[in-house]
Amino acid sequence: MLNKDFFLNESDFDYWNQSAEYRFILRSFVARKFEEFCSEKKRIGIIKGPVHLAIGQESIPACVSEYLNNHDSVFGAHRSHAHYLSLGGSPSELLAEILGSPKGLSSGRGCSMHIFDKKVGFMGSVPIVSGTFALAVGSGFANQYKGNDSISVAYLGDGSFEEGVVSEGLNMARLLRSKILIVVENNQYASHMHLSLRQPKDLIRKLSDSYGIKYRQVDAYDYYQLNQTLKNAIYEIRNEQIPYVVECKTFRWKGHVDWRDDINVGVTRSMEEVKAWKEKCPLNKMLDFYSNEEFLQKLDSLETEFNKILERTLEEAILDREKSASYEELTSHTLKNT
Amino acid sequence: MKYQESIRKAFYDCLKESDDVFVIGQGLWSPWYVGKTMDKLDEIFGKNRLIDTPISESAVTAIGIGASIENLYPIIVHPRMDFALYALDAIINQSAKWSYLSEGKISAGPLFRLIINRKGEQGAQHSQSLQSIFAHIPGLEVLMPVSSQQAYDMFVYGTFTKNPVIYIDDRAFYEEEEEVVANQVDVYNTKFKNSFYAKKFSNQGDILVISIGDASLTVEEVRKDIKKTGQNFKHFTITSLNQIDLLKGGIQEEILNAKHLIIAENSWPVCSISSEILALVLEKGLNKNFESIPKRFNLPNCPAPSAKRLEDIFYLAKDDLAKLIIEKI
Repeated sequence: MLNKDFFLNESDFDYWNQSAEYRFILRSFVARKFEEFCSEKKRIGIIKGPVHLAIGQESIPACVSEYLNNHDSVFGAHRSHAHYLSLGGSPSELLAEILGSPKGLSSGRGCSMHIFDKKVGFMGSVPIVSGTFALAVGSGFANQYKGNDSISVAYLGDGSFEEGVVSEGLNMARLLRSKILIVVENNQYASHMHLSLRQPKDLIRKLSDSYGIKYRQVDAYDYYQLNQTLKNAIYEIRNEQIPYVVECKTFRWKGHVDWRDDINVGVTRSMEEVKAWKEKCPLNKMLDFYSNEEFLQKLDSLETEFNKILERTLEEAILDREKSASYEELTSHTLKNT
Repeated sequence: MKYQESIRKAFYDCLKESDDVFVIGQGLWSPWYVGKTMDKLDEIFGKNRLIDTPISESAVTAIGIGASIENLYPIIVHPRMDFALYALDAIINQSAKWSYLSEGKISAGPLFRLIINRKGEQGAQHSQSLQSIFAHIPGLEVLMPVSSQQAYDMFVYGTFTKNPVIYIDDRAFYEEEEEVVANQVDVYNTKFKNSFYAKKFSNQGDILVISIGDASLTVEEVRKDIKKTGQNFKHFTITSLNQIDLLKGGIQEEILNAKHLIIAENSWPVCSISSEILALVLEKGLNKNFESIPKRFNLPNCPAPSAKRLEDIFYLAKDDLAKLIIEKI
């Protein structure tokens, strides 16, 4: 469920309950609008720290989250806004966090790259590449050890497979029968560098196969293929207690970080390539197919309401973040028990 | 009870106390290289709770941390501290940050058991005493027990607290004996005890020796030798290394009353626990009654050698320490 502070009149918005397709559209739409908002606020300098935007990659968490419960555990990396929102995370609290406000998810301790919200099962995201991967394997193992119904999700980029801990973690996931969905968002670029310059062909599949882990590759711009693959994978993880890799071919429309297109960064990326991916946008395709006049109207008013909430949060956060912090606030919770 | 037996008892009691305790690390199904500290635990509690692993320190450590996030109580074992360096990202970048970044809502606090095993020509990558690296990091607790009772208490505490605890045991202590009161484990009320801050060996005389880790053994040997001549000195060991509390450890007054201070640590001098203690003494103005310049007694600034003839001049020599103390007397 998306958060109440967004769906204020949720009962009016019966499309949410109508079908997975509508929920896909709504989750993707919310993430897209949120990221566009952040992109603009970063451009004009209101957001101070780095933001890694998910525009173009929203379809993946929009499908994954359809099959998760609040007691499942999700771990992410630097580009995690969409993953968090898709779980029903609060756009206001996330925006406040990104802005460094004391009303943010962690009072501005982490901002954009460190998102933590246990309420929706988002157990943490960090910018060290693959830093949360083996934690997620451990979390999936813990659920196996306890014999409960929960699973864990690790979101990784294609660059993650170049880290040694991913090889170790895949091997351990198999040995421990960790109940983990490993979602590889392959957008072809690790920061600026193209996949072909970093990895032999099909490394993600080959490594998964080598470690005896089930693997599927999907086009994340094809909703039906993506949705079905993830649905099946999550069903198998829950029922057969196995790890599972789904490599999702996707594309980010913005540069690695912040609002620019960064066409000049990266070896093969061109405006034509970006344009071609934009034309295949899964959100727009689904909107074309599923929209009727009433739905579009509702979506319009939703967008207006959403932007109002974000602007209100922004105004408040700009004032709140100017308030001086105490030493106690700065240092509390360094240790859990003191 | 021998130090190594008290560790085994702590393992046993923790595993018995809660099914949510499990142990993960290399060599657990054939734990011959951890002394007698883990004998037969896999047979008693099962291989699903004592998990022997591939040679993957980095992932194994992170998996333990992930299981702690899910509210289990993992004990992660690295039979040689040197090998745990592969897991520094998991320990320093992840585990130590989780409580802070989530404002205490999510914690990732397993017990990391790191073992030191030195001498015997083991060389540069089997002999390091790396407590300073961990003590530098906010968000970790670093404990280095020097007695059987401390070894037991700190282990139980480290297992059940939600803080990430670096528990460093040195095989030099394994045969040392002390009576151990094995308190009933209370999973839900594991408190950091005042006895974790320091261990008192003696408070006689004008000279104060503060030791860290297995330097305490060398210092005690010297004290016994000197005692035969009717002389004595004070000796305390600091055992909580990144939360040094001289007051709670009962050392502050002793430093203030001492005329001479020597700090002994079997590790390198730069950015060490011994330099930290000396800084604290100066910052707190505890050197008012000192009649000589405080002296640190550390390892030479080179990696640990293998050959015995080199080891002989590398590690803290009892005779050199004795000479230093006798000079002050």
